[in-house]
Amino acid sequence: MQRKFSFEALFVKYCGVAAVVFSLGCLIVLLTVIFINGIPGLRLDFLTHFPSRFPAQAGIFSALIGTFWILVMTALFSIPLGVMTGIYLEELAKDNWVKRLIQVNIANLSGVPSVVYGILGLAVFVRFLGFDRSILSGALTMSLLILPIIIIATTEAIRAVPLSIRLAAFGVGASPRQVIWYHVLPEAMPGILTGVVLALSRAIGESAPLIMIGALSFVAFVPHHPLDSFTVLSIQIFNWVSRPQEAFHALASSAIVVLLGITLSMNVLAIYLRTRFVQRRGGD
Amino acid sequence: MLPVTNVFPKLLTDKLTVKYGEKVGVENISIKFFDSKVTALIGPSGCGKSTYLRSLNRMNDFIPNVKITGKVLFSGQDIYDSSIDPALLRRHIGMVFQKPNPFPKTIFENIAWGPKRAKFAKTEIPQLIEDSLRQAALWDEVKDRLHTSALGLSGGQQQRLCIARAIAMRPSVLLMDEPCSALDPIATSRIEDLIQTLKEKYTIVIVTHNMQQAARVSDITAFFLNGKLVESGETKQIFTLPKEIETENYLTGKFG
Amino acid sequence: MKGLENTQSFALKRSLSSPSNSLSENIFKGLLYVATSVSVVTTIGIVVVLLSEAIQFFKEISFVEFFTGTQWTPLIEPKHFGILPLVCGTLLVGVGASLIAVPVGVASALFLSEYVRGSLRTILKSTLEVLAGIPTVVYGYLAITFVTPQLQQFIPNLEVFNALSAAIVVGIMIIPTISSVSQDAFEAVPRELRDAAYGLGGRKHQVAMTVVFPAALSGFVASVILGFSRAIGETMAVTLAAGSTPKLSFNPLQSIQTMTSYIVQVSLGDTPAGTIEYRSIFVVGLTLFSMTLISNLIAQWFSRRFQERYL
Repeated sequence: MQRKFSFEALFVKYCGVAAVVFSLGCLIVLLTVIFINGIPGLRLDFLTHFPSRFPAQAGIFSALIGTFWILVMTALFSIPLGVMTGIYLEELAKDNWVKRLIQVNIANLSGVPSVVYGILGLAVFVRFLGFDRSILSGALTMSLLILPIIIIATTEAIRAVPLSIRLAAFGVGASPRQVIWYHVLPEAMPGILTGVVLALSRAIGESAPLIMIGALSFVAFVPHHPLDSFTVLSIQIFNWVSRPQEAFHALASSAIVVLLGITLSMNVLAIYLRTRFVQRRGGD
Repeated sequence: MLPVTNVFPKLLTDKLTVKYGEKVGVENISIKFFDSKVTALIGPSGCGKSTYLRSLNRMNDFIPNVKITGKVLFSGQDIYDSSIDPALLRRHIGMVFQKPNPFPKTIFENIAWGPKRAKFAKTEIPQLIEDSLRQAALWDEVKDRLHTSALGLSGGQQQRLCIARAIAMRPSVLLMDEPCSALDPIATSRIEDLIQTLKEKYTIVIVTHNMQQAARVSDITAFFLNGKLVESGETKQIFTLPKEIETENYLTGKFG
Repeated sequence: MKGLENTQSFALKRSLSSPSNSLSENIFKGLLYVATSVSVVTTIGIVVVLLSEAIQFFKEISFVEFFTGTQWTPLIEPKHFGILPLVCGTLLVGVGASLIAVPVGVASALFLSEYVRGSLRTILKSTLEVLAGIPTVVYGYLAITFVTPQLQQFIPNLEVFNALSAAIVVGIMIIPTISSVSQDAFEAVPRELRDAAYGLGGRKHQVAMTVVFPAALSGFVASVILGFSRAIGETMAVTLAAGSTPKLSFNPLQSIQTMTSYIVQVSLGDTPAGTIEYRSIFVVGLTLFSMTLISNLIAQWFSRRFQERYL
């Protein structure tokens, strides 16, 4: 039986094709523009120099080190907190209104604009606790920002661990902690890691909260201590983009190439972890 | 009247009722389980026999809103008393589940994990693993690949591994929840043989939906219907001279 | 119960060395409680911080002026604190971004869930998600250095800073939010529903448009609200591209200011704590927080309605 030609069928299908092509096109244009403008300025000096008023001498050394500090310290705070909260919600919390309230709360926290976390960090870490405009304040603010992402990823990964494994472990007389530690966590680890990597790549790209807590944009020294002031790549980029001179825009595009190199490779790593995880689940 | 003997039940339930919220799982069940005997719990699906079995070592604790009234006494101790640690209890009352559920680890680790947590002596563990696998009639098939993944075993082998894992804890009661329902006939008959040898050392309670299996392996049979215990007694008597009409109807295939 | 005691006895009691009651078990549980409380404390912290400064703010500025005033000039004399221009700028960008992202997002979601199978679907979905993984400051850079100059070739009276290019880049940024949440909803529509429609002789586009899409409507609505809420909370791209001149106007070709970019503008300067300018960022923050919170709650309500039906 031959199918009748249908304009409507083609229309629906090609709207979909067009939408996907448009999105992919945006991605390609975006990357092309950045690489064309950014690659020429990407010399070794650029990575090892401090920022400068003279575009020819300016570099991102202090921003790179600052980004690394923020990344490590944010990971240090947010991973244990996020994973532990996820474990509590999935494994220990009784199914009652308290648990539901906490879940709704976390879903809402994940939708709070980053600049609001910045206001919180400014009021609590910088002023109230007196950590000043330091790496510590920045990392704590960033940790609160990405905490919901890690919690949600953890609960999803834990939910995917089959109940039968838990029952088997309880059946030989294990305690809840032993079941979680030896069976649930190892099985959920790839999923948790995917979420953690995505969350940290978000932390690297975010700048609004750090601007709020007053991360300096002109830092001509390397921070040595969590209480030192700092700048990060994304703030350095913001600073250069907001200047009118073309030369600084060129610097910004080179810095963006570096920033994208870091965040996109983290995204790829996360996608790789996730597909491996899905395959393993499917293969059981 | 049975003559009064010196045999005490290892495990018994006294007017046990299990509810999920408002829904009744089983109601008012009193059964005694004795050493060296296999007790089969039979009945149509949904009759509450698995619910009842899981309440014997508190595996029902993981189901939300579960409510238990009545008593379960294990060697005289009320296992639902707040002073009882359910993890310790489960070391003495082991369980084999409906579907084989080995840990996604090596065969060795599957058996060693429980004893390690229970602080069995390290030096004792290799011997314990060999003994358990021998008792579960699996040793000859896996002795050369103890350190490969348990997920590489066949379904029947996995289920025997789960039995080995349970008996490595040296429990005194072994609960089996339809252990053969996911297996082929050959694997099933191996496990039935195994139950016959295991009963020398353990009090065994087995849930089965297969009447022939109950007749083959058990000494005592309890028939459940709609959450109630219809009757229990010597397997031979239940299968030849049931007292209740429901039992007879079930056994002759009128429903179920 | 006489005579039922067994001669053999087992140690089953809870103690400091029994598995479920040991010290390590309790420390473990305690740590989990503490960790979980952090997320609760965070929410309380946000509300307390925003409210306490806002209360101070409203001691000097009346509600009426704040909510109905049509001028926002806190940094220049004479000072005016009417939030409408900021809300207007924010909505202009949010609605503009949604006009781009909703059609593109939902069309690609429907296409990926109904027309594409297997690994190609996974690859395309992951690639689209890269758009959401790009730092927002990069979108700001593109708006200024690429989108605005390109647009100026067609629209000569487009200002250097304008709401249009901000809306365009924010729209591209939120495509993945809308497409991925919608796609999850479309994929969750039960197979039987599709099979029934195919059984009646339905063709792919008919099944997609008349069965899958209506069935997943509330999931789709949730994705749109979530995307909108992300757009109005977006900061860096808007700060860079849309300018900093609060205007009560819906002309996208002009420079405007959003709530987020006002907050950044104030914090870039060195505004001392306790001043009315400093407090104004908390009030604007509170307004923004309330708008996104309400959006998110509505989105959650829709997606719960969807899940209750099908999951």
